[in-house]
Amino acid sequence: MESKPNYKNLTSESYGKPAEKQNPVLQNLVKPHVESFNCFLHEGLTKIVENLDPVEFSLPNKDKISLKIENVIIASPHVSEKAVCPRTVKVYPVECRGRGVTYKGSLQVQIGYSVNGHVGPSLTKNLGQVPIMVKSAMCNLAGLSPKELIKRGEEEEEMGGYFIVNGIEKVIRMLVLQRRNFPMCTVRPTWKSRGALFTEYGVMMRCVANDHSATNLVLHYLSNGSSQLCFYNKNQVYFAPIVIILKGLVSMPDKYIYDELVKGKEDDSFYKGCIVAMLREALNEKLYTQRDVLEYMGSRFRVITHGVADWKTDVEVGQHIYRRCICSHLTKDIDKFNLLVHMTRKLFDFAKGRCAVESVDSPMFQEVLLGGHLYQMLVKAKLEQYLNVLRTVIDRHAKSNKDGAEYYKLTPDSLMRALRFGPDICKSIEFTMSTGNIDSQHALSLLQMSGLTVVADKLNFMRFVSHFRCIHRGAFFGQMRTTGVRKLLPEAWGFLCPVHTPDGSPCGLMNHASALCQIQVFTMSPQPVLKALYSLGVCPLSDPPGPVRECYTVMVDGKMVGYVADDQAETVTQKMRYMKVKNLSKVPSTMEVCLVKRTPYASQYPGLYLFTTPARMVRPVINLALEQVEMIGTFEQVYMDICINQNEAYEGVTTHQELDDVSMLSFAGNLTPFSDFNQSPRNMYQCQMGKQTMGVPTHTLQYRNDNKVYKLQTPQTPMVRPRKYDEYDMDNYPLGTNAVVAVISYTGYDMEDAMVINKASFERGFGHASVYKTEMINLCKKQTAGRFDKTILTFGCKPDTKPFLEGELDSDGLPHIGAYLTEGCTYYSYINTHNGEQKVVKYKNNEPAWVEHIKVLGNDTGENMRYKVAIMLRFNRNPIIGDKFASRHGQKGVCSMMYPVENMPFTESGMTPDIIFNPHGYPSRMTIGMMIESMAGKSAATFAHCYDATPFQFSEDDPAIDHFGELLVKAGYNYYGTERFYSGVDGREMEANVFMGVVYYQRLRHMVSDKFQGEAFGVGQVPGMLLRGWVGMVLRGNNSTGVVHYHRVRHLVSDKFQRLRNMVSDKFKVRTTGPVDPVTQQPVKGRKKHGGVRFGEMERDALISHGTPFLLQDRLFNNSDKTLAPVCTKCGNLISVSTEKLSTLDKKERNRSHVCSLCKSTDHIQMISVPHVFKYLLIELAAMNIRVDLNVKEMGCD
Amino acid sequence: MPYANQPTVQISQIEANSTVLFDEFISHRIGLIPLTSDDVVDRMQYSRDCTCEDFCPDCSVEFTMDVKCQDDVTRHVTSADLISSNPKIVPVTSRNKEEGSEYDDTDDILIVKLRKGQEVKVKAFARKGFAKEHANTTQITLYATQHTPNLRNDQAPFDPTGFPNKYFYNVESCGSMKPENIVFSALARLKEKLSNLQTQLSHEIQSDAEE
Repeated sequence: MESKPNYKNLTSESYGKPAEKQNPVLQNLVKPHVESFNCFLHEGLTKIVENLDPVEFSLPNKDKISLKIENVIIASPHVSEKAVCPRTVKVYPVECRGRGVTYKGSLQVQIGYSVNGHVGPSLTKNLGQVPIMVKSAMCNLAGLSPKELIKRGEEEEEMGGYFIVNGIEKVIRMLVLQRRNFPMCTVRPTWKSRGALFTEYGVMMRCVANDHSATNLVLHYLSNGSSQLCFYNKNQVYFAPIVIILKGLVSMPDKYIYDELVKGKEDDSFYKGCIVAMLREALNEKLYTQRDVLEYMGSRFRVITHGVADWKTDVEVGQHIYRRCICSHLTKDIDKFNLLVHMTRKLFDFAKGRCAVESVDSPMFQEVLLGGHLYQMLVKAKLEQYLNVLRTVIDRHAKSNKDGAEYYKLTPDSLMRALRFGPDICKSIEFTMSTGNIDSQHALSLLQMSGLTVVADKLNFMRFVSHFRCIHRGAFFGQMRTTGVRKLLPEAWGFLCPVHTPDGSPCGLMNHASALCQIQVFTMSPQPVLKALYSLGVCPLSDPPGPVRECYTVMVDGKMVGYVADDQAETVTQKMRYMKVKNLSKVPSTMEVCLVKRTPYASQYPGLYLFTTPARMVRPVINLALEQVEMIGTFEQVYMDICINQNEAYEGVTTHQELDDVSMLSFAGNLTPFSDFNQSPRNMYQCQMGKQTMGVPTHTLQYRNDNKVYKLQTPQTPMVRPRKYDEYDMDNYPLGTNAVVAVISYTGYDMEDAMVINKASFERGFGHASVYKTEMINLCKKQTAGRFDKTILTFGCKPDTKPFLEGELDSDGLPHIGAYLTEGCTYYSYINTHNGEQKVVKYKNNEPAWVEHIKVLGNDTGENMRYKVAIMLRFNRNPIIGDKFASRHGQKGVCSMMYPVENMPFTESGMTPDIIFNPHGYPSRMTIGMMIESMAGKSAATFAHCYDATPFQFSEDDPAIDHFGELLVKAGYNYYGTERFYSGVDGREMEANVFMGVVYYQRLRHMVSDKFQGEAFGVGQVPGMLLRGWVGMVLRGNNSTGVVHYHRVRHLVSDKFQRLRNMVSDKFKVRTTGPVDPVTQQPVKGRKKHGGVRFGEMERDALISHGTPFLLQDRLFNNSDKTLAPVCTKCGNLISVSTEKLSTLDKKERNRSHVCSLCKSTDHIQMISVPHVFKYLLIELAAMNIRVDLNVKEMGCD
Repeated sequence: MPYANQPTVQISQIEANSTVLFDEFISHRIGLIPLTSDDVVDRMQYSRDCTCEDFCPDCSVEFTMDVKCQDDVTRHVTSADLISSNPKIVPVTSRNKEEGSEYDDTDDILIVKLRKGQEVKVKAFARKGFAKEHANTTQITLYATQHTPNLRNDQAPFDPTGFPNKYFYNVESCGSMKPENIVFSALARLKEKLSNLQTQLSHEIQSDAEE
């Protein structure tokens, strides 16, 4: 299927030319996002209109008003009408990224109204603009070819799937939700506390209507053999006996309900007894008919059901509650009745141990909340809110009517007036996209209200794509103490990647979809499925084919559709599968069909289950019988026999086969070479580290305004790589460099995961990188008064001023492209157009930079282009000691030394390694994959080939070591990849053979230059001041310059008074010079503020146990907040001493003496050194009326 | 190691350019191009020892490169575009075109690619340096040293108690100098250093004795 990896770019004639079409493999990775937004645009908007209840209310003149949204239209982004001669009316994402604005299109609604049932003309209202997903159907990039995309400043393989909010790319996180419309047997100990007799057993169901709005239902089992239905309305919980609820659904005698409930369980006398008892119990409530129940429900819920008009009868309100809260995914009452009956039977079987528990943590019972679906729910909630606010506006207008409230009438004019006061819902949608927070009113039945969107960080391609493949379990589960939710379950096979999850707190909660896993997005009509089922021998519920206990119930999308006889069930299932794969009679290809068979032991509740619902995870496998690709879901997979390859197939049992050996791995997991040889956690680390690697993040850097972009200047294609690397076209975004690695303990600088880098390799460009930072300068914000969008300031530089004459600035007041900026040099200048004053701004960063490019930004209307610019600066980030590197096997290390090439060990042929890797890195980590990569890389380099590193291609009989060993022998090397080495210091031959090969190394973004804490002097730039050793004190009188080493410890911190809670921050820091806290006089914290590093309790303990009190005092006292304070030795008071008051300002002023205000004397004052914070403590205590006397004596008096 | 002190030539300063690659990138790439230096290098001054202010013909060689792409086809800027002011010091890949020499035929080294309208204009100075300072001044790509017995060349029986008294040096040049020149020059340099040391030492001893 796939070809072996090759260097096709070297020979391909079309290299460098944009392809005709985008790579479908890459596009499929973000498909769920883009498609779900398209789904929102195509079917979601109509669903919103259908499902949105009209807002009904009475005016003071008793007019019955009904407000309804009749249509919602979202337009593609276009420029504002006020825009001055735009080149095109379309707005493209590149402009929004560049200008730091939101990529949005207008949202228009048609509002219809009726007065006393007379429908008025509907009004069209433009509500504002909402964010549009890039590359969705409404995006101006939709369907463009790579060439056209490049023309519009996008990547050739632009995939979209994100929103641009204020210039930042935001992705809606995929969240795991409970599978919709499937009643699940659940055990939850907390349910016991829901009321008397409640047990932990229940059948839980998440009912989702076709507009993705969800309501939960729980059917509880009570220990007296009865059952209560728990339902939710507006986040409030209600309980009702199941029989009462059932009565409200059908207008039938109790006998009918009894018969339906005991169908198929006629032999179960306990169950029958329970049902009879429940029915009898219900009679006590005096609710005999369906009407009684509805009336009762209506009367109870009228008060809390907001938005139900006052003229509605109790029955109508009751029906409303039934429609909204009970089995909201079904529309017909009889369907709801049948489903609740099924749930009741399942519950009693479950409670009696006749069927097994179903876990919410299993992917089998999970689905995924997609971005577009969430967006749809959000828009619906906002429109609902809009109508409600509109109602209050109309109410208010009526009350304040000049002619009296009774004369207020709703006419198109008065409605138009009211519309003007409607809320700005678009802003809050944009806000949700930018912060990821939704307000609590519209929690949208989600467990979390924040963290719904994340920034699609373009650090490198691997990280960027992984954002779109990430599936989060929900922030709520992060707090849970239990580890059950984090477990990797066998059900997740092929859907969630077992490797690609971070370690630490989000472990197992933040998962990533396997590379081939897709998510069903569109809603399918179940009608063809029903038709097919009935044609295959499924009988309707009313007409079972035989005794019900010998039939399986058939459920389609949470609706009971009929019975199928036991002996026919298997055939029906197979035929349905056949129709699904062959796509016959419109049976959807992503349908799940699963026969859960009866077993002698307690297993999952039997039945034939079919799902066509959206938001399910599906993945392709090969159907062996039909020799065709079939999409299977999480539920049915559990009951299917899938082999990985032909050798593992069992005759007569296996029905399906995986597409690929590695189909369970995610995008990132697939990029680890030889991952099957590594200890499994190492592959997890690589998935994390690959995402922190510097590489080529984007090809459109000049159009973007990213805060911070890392770019490797000398990237290479890996010589050893998995097939998927080529499939994903990773050569467009390479992530590292091939390096010659010798596994040897040399110099001692390679201890503890440190690595020695060959200085000559570095000088030839190994790991060279840059950081690009963008600074947005908005002159509006610089003026003290006036509106933010109008300014009197403008960029410019007068031709007779120094910066222009000396060539530092151009006449536009901006630096030249490529200019070198150092601290204090001229950066840009602007002119006040009113008084003609010119202000020159200096470059303040202490790190030098080069001007990469400058963008002059306009506003939405394209006027006044002279007050906002984005300057992109380039900072050098070539490797220095302390920078982090890693191979692709979770083997990270810091560079501890750049060793001169003449001192590096060399081989017989005279080769020196680029990197020295300590052999102690291997035994405990067991990253055999790295060793094999090393050997493969070595032979790849000699033969100028590139070798396949896809996992699972070797076996016990055909070991990888042997394969590459033979290749090495052919190349004239040792079979094991070792070589004779000579010491670079004295040329002596080393006794041991040294393992050397070529390994692809990644440079990680954690770099010393970004992190080191201290006076921020770069090496060799210390201005006239030498800092001594690790204490960092300034040597007085010595104005020579020298090199400051990054590893010196400059700032230490003490914490003596931690127990004084409210006193001071518990961070006591030490540092000779620099900013201090105004209250405590201690050094501040934080690298940005030039603060100190905390010298904590444990560090203090270390010094104490080390017996170095002098050092301890130096760190915690002298270098922290030591102050000389006057104390009165007579009364022992530290705070009563003040300076003497003098009546005249004469010369005495200079040597005023201290006086104790209690003793009224100047005789007993002595100066002592105390921590300043101690003095502060005494003051605080004095404020609480506590006096502290110090027992101080004058030296030599006693 | 002797080659560490071996003088050779490097390009170190660039004036201006306008391409997709930034200045440092291009200068780094030009800096890595080996230049022929067989005959000239010993007569060149270290620019730090030279009396001139900036660069002079005694301590440096001027290179210019002025390429502009005017066609629709991508223009490859290679080491062949580097014009030297001294015909003896040219990129190693440019040499063989003029004189069919003993060096192998090699491709020109790619520096940067230009699309239509792009331009690169560089003025550079090559100066003498040695590999200990920066790898772009090295003129060997591989070196190896072995003692006796050399398994490949030595047919003598292996004597486990013997002391190595014979060394084999393998040197592979990047093309800027002939390998033998490199070794001899290195040895000369080493000799010079040792004799310097000896002179200094004798001066030292003399002045000590005088005190």
